[in-house]
Amino acid sequence: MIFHLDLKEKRAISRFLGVIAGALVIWLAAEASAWWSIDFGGIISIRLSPFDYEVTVLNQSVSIPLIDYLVLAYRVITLIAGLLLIISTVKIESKWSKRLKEYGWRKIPNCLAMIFIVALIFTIIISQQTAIVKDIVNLWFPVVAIQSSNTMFLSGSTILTITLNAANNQNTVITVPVTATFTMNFLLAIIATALCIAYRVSSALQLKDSRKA
Amino acid sequence: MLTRKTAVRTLINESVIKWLLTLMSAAIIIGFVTMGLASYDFNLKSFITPQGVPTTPQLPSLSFVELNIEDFYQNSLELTITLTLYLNRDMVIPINLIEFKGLLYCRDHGVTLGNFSLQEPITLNKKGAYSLILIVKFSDQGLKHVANYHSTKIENAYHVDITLHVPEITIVTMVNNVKIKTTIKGFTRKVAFTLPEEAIHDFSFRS
Repeated sequence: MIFHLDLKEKRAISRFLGVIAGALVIWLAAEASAWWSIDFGGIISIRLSPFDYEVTVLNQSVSIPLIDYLVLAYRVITLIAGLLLIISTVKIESKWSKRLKEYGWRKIPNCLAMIFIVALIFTIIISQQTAIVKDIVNLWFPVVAIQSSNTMFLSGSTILTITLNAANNQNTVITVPVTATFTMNFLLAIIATALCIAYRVSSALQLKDSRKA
Repeated sequence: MLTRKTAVRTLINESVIKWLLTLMSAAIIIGFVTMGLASYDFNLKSFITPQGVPTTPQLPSLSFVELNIEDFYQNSLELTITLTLYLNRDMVIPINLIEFKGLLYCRDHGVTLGNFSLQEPITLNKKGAYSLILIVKFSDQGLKHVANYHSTKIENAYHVDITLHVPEITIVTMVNNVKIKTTIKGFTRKVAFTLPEEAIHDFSFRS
């Protein structure tokens, strides 16, 4: 449909997409709430977003200062990227606009891919590669075996059954329900990604048309 | 000679903007990391070490300091006993003790006397003593055995003297949504208590 519009209309659509995409990018970076979370029976919980993270172990917040500052830096970069996306809509055909666009449009799609990969790795390790979980739990308790009730893929639930090493005539079995979920912000990030891609494609088409004209 | 307008256009060409943006990103990252390092007195080790990781979680040790026989309910052949247990430290997350059960045997004759279980779940959070009310349910056969082999008639009652053997105790606790089921080695203990005459009377004649 966009192919039948005149240049002015195409420019208006591109601008609209750019402004909305930029605003959404700014909002996602400013709000910085979790995109994906995983909870281990209320004992350990991890909430991830590209702009912040929250790890709680036994009601105690755990953090790595280096990562804290890196995510903060990335948050500022993304806020600027969102702003530059909006600025790039002012004069879409110009060369500086193209550069601002190139800088801005990739940020949220990259974040989306990153969270997706992290969620995938986490869920695969927890539900299929339980030997890795066993090594981690072994840091605290001597573990005999860990079994997962079912396979998790990105989100969902499973039950981990951890059999501890029998010591002092004591046998212990720990049952941990694990739940992984994507939040509303992940959905917004998908929308932002779609808008960023749409803005890039529409502005490229519009640029092509203006050159022909 | 270049006009001012042309000079600005030249400056703001594609590659300059590209490099400026890349430099800006790098400067933001380096700036934040340097600021963070400075707040840790440039101690790299503490800057990359996870903060707030709880030390190896230790399970609370419980010690039984008292055993009281509270009451005997003849109709259900139940005996209520109270155990006092001691929690050696405060818990970060409360522990709900939901099951405490096992089988009860006569050590001398190997006869099953019945079983015991927790009357109601209790929550352990602060360091200190907790009363654990257990219901001992005698089986028909168990009470008959007590009546015939381990009781002595005293005034309006029976004095019971028996060595109890509990091979193992199953303890189920919930910490938030995590269920911990532990089976620990039981105990053998000589106990003496008095039961009302009506409690044993019927069974002693049935045998």
